[in-house]
Amino acid sequence: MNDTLQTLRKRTAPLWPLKKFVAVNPFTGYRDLPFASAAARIAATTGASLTQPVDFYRRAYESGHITADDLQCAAEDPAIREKMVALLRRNPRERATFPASFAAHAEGVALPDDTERFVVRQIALVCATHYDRNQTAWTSPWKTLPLYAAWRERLRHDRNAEAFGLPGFAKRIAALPESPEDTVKVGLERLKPAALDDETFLLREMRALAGWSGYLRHLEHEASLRGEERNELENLVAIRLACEVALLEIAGPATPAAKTWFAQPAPAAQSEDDELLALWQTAYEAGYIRGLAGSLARNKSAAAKTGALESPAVDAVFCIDVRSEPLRRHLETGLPSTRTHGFAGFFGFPVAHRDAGDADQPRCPVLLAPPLPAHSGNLGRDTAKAHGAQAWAAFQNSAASCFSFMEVGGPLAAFSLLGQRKRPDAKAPAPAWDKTISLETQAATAAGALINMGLTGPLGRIVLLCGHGALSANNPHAASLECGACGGHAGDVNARLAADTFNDPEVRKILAGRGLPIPESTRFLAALHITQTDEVKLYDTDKLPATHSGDLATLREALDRASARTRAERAIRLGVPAMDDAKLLKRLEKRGTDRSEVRPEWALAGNAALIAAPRSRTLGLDLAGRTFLQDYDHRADPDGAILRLILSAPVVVASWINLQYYASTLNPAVWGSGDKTLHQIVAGIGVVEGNGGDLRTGLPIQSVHDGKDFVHETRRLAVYIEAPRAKIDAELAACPDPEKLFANGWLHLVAIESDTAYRRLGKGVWKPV
Amino acid sequence: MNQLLHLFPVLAAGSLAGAGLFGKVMPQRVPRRFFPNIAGLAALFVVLSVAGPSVHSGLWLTDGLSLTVATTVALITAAVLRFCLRHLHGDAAQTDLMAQVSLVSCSVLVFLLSGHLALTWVSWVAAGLLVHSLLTLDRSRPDAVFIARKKFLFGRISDVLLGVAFVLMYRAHGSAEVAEILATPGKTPASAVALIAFAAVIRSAQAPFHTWLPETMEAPAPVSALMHAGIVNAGGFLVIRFAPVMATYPAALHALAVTGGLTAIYGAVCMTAQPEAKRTLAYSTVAQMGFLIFTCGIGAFGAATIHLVAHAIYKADAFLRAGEAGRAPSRAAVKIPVTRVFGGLILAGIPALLIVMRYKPDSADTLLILVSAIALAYGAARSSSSPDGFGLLPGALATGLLLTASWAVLHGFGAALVAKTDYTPPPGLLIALGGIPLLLLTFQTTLVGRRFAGFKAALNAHALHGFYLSTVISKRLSWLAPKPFPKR
Repeated sequence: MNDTLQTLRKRTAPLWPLKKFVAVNPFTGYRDLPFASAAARIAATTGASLTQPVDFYRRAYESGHITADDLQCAAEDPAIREKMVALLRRNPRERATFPASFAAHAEGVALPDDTERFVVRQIALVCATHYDRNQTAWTSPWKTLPLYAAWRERLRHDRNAEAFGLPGFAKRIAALPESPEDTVKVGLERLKPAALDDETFLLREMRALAGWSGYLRHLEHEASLRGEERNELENLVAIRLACEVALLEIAGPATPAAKTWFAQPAPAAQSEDDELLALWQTAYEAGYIRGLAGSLARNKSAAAKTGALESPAVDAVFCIDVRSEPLRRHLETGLPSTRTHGFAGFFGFPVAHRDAGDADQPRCPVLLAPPLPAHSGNLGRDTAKAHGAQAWAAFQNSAASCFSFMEVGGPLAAFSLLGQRKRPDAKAPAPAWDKTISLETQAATAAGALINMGLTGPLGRIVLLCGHGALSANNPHAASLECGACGGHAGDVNARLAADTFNDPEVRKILAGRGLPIPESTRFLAALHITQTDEVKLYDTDKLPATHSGDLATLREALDRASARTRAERAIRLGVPAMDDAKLLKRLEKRGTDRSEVRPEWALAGNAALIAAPRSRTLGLDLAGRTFLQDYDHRADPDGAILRLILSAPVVVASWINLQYYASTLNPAVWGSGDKTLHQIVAGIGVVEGNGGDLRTGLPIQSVHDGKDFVHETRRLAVYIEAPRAKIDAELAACPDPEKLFANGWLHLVAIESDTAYRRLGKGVWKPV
Repeated sequence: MNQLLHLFPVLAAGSLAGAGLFGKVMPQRVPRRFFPNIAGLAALFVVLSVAGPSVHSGLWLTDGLSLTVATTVALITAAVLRFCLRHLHGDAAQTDLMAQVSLVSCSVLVFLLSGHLALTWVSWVAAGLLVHSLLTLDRSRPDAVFIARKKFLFGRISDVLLGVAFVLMYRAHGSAEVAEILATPGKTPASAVALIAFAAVIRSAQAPFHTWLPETMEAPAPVSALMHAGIVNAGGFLVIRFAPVMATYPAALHALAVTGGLTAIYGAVCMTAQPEAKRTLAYSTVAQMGFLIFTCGIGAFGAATIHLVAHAIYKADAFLRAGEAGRAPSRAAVKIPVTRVFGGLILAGIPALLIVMRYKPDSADTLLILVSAIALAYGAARSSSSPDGFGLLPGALATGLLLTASWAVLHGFGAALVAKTDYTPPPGLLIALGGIPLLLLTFQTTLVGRRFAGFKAALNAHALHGFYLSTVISKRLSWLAPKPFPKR
């Protein structure tokens, strides 16, 4: 039984709270299975397909979007290709439907109408009160107990189920075992239809609570980063099964509804259709993969022209985020003496940041526990301000004073109501390392960052570290627009801390001692790319010595020009009509501060590829803001350590982002979070749609759809690595997790070796594209 | 020229009606910007009505009361429609929804500005019906349809009650002009007054007629904003408008005070237990509507008007920024020592007592100041209880300032808007006036801590579900649910 719970735990994708909402691959628990097998498993437990419907591929094939070459890419064997085409003519076998739970099966027959939705909502409410993060004024009295025990205590008073028409519900729950493990055991014994295996049964039961399951998985994951073990999920499973057992008793174990429930057939096994659909999906993706592979392989000539870049005036490091690519391109065109780099936007500085408003901001990729504490602002004074805001909020929201508040404070809301704008954030104070961080630690972090960013050769007079941040108002999912590498926060804090550290003469001394000298003339400068307006904000320019004022002025001007061009490009995608730049900037700024705006920007929609290569490989190519660009020079990585890091960090993170967009576009109802206009924030953790129910996961429909069409295509990420094939194979063998993603078809892998592109078909099997 | 001045109320309502109908008939031809601009224009027409006589041709009554509330509603409508422009961009139903909002708002404006019983009744009914179709625009959401039907049922009951009340009034007075009826309130039969009170109770979502309110979150935020700022308070407005008539039958006002007082306590307690942002706001509206009806019940009609307007503005704004809740400062309860509460009560009570003793201590309006004092005492006690919070003294100082401000608003403005009545509430109700916040204050200060743990635990479990009123009523009315209920 414990094994079953472990499998359930593994299959459940975590869900981060809104404050640090980051992209999650909803299929991450299935990565050990080949794509087609996972599709069959997921269909058998959720009823949803992992590929588009046949119609979609038929239209793409008939319109010439999928060509004969694409088909050949997907399947070498002509017999299989014939079967693929035949699939378009006959529709695939209908999948057998199955009830999500006993409640769903028996409602309207042996149980009241709509019982399933009622029960799910009750469980979700209990989770919300139990895990509430400072949203509810009256916190649950049972917060200190484990979830399952808290629920049982609550049910000693709560009579909602009885009022709904489920007589004796609480009494039946009370009669079940006290420990969650035992309850799960009872549930499996008494409820599981004989033809279903434990795993399928539990996955089906928990599907309706995927949001809260995900949040509990997140809590477990967070604890595991701290080296603790925390078991939350089994509590929720126990609650769900306890409800089901009670409902079975209420309906009567001998009723026809119960009999048909237990007589359910075994889940459908993987069929040939699953394979064929997966191949069609590959064929759909093949055109883009080949096109980009060709452009990259041919871009040798541009690479040869990069001699001038050996001694650049400016080195600019940007986040690998797809939104950086257009800005980098325009910056290089406008200021050819610039060399740009791509690295995850935390610049190798995993920071646990806190400020007056929020003491818990892990600003680093979510797979890490941030080891470096830092803070900004005068915490003491800001706290007094925060307390003022809290007192005002209490006056406004508390039961005793809310009535009197209206007469005094109510009319003040008129300004906000008629303005409907978010006030611009106050200037962010400079962050500083916590006192516990020694100079040695700073230098060690800096050294690692330099090596991983590839900044070991000659450097420009200015090294720009440009993170990115977003602008949006009244947006529960605001963090999803921010930098994922900074844990759903803007990148300014990491960039500023990194620049300060690199400029510290003491740190430089230690670095020089380690063979990483930074020239006296090189100054690091922190910047933030506002992805809403494509402006670049520079920080702490007053700390630059006078000797660099000329360089700064040139850079500032070049950045402004690059911003304007990028902005014009982005405006087309946003559907904003052409206008002069000053007006456009105003317009986009307005969009970012407008409370009614549901599409402040397209964020990472459209993402399709990750390229790990020296910039010379992509220089001069218009990649349309669809690619993650990670710097990688295999010649500077003899032992493959950097490649392993790239495979296990940026590649995995990019695949999470990519598959989140894939899923939210493929089936917004199942894997997306629904309609933004109907969201309400719950417990400071997530959103529900409309009147409530389970937490919603994934992206809102407005993030992938413009009202007429999807702006994102369901395309699995293609990863391009410029390195010898043998080296990639060797390093992948050392990284089991990314290897699974590639081998099982969750990502495509293309190697670029001596100006030829090879697609990887399996371990050690490559085929020229 | 004078004839033209009579036109302003007609223009105000007519422009919105025109925009709404135009949008309904020719959705493709209307630029969407048109809607908020027309609503802004309607607000201007309402304000301009000041220039005209307060009684227009027997149909309109544009005194300080109706103009203040109507201006507020027109401005809120403009804000709501402007919000729809981007918020619903790309939604197939966008134009339809904006046209519908214009029509709803038009009927509310007619209701507020009406000076004739027939017009008042027709616009009251129209507003209810139009809101119903606004809530059921998205028929794909079964919950939305079911709850709208629940609301529809209650709404039509209130329509009938109000219709009968108006017929009785018309027969007693021999006139359907509101101004004439208000001039001789004594002629009104008690039954008519009771029916008006009952209609107002249903319309203003007093418990147990409130259950649709926390459940209408299946509609986008701007629809909620309009409902909470323009629709539910129609009940309160009705009572304030007919204040002189209501005062002729004190038992009806007493009943209102009791219903409102209980609803205020009920809403406030439920509100604090909700983990969902918009549902919290909805219970807050229930509480505020309860307080509004209570204030009417004790005869403080001026204060009620101010409360109605202030709440409308506040709640519309709150819904239009509900997506920010995740970033709001923590609302979690803080442990507040009882001594602090007493300290706060004394410090805040002194200026309040001074105000009350200086001005008529028998007026309910003035006594409301005492209520504010209690509330502010809580604020002072709370802010001084959190670590690094303010001291009690600055808290009390701020309290004094806020009290003076609220007193100035209530007396400088509120009292001037409404007709004077000679109703004096019985002392029991005035004690209740202070009792409600005191009770809630006790409730709040004991939220954290071990006192009454068992009782509080039970109360929390019940309050989370609104004491099951909604579940029970939904069960009774389950025949209203669309069939077959689509399964997920």
